[in-house]
Amino acid sequence: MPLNHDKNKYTGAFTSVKPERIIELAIQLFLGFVILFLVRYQTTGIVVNLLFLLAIAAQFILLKKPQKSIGFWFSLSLFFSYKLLTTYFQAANHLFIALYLSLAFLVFFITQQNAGILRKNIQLILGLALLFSGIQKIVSSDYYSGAYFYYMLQRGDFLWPLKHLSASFQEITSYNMMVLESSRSIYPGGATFEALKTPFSGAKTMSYYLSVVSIALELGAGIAILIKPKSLITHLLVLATIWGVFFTRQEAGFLTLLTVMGLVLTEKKYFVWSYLATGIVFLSLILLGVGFL
Amino acid sequence: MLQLRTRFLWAGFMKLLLFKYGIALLLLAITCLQLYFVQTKNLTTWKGGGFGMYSSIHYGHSEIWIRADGLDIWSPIDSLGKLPIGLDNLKKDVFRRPFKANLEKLAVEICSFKKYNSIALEIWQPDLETTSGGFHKHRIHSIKSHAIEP
Repeated sequence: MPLNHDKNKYTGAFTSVKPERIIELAIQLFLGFVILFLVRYQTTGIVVNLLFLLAIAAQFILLKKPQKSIGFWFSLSLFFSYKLLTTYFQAANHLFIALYLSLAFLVFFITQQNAGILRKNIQLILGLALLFSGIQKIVSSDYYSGAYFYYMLQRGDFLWPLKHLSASFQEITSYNMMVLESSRSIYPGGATFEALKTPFSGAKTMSYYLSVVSIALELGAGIAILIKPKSLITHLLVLATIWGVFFTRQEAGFLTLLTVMGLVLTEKKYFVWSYLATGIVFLSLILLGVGFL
Repeated sequence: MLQLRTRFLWAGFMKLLLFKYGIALLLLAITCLQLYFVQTKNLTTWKGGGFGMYSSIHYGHSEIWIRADGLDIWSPIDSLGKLPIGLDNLKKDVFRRPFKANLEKLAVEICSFKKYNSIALEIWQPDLETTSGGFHKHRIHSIKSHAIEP
């Protein structure tokens, strides 16, 4: 009876996926990010990148499945640690997350593929990252008041899909960018520059509400991950946060890493598909140059 | 024998603790360090691994203006033309961490590169609270005048 129960658990539609299969998929998605990262940043620290690539190539030749070896994850953790130590004040936040993820996978293989420990590590990384992201926005008066969101909207940096949907949004944001660009050649002391135009009526009010909603989503998703990492609502919140951030800001690189972590924490088939599709879309957008890395 | 077993169990417990919570502790330590640098060295919230990106205006929107050798004219730092790699990196670092010692370092380096005797340096940022009257910028840091020792 228990055997049949286990079998059904893994074979029916919209049911659970085997944890080892999910982790395998998450590793593949993460490696997709690592490859794009290496290609994108090949000009900085080319010697170290080359040495690392050689080490990886050697492992692929010598080992059957290098992504399952401790040595592979150790060298990847070492690589990201080196990058962070040498560029601490320049490094973007996704580089920090990439290091934490490499360390989590290293621990996973050191502990003879203990999925419980991996999930605990990923749960804490994802939960704390979302929580701190929300807290930093709450303490920033510019963000909380909606002023920062509105300024970025006036520049056309936020809600970027509108550029492709509305000609007037595109026109006004281009005009604002021109005003801002030309203002950079005039000494700002005592100067008043031409006022920036509002992209659409009610943009200021909408900026305020979107700022508050995004803070609530990030905090909500962070707390939910820390308290109930497997819950349906938690993963709906995480996916909403990921897609919400993408439609406001194109940060596909950072979001791919959030997707990898969400994937490890879920076990339901429909969430596995959702996270996988999201990750693949983001990696493709980075390749096409639409998403940032 | 009992002591040996206790020591063994203790080592196993510590190992498990390290594997389970070590990475989260590293994350917390780095975030605390970032908050410390934000408070004491004006580090932009975008950098340092504290997940403060998009919580404040990006440092790339700031402008550095210079006035050399007591002239009345202020010029943007880009008017200096192409800078040597070291100086260019220092300039970028000042955008990310505009605290006094960093600004002074930049002033000294510009003086020695351009052979100026003195220099004044200011960093400006756009005002986010826009009014219907127009768009303004505010000064976030400045060095009044930096004289180079002969």
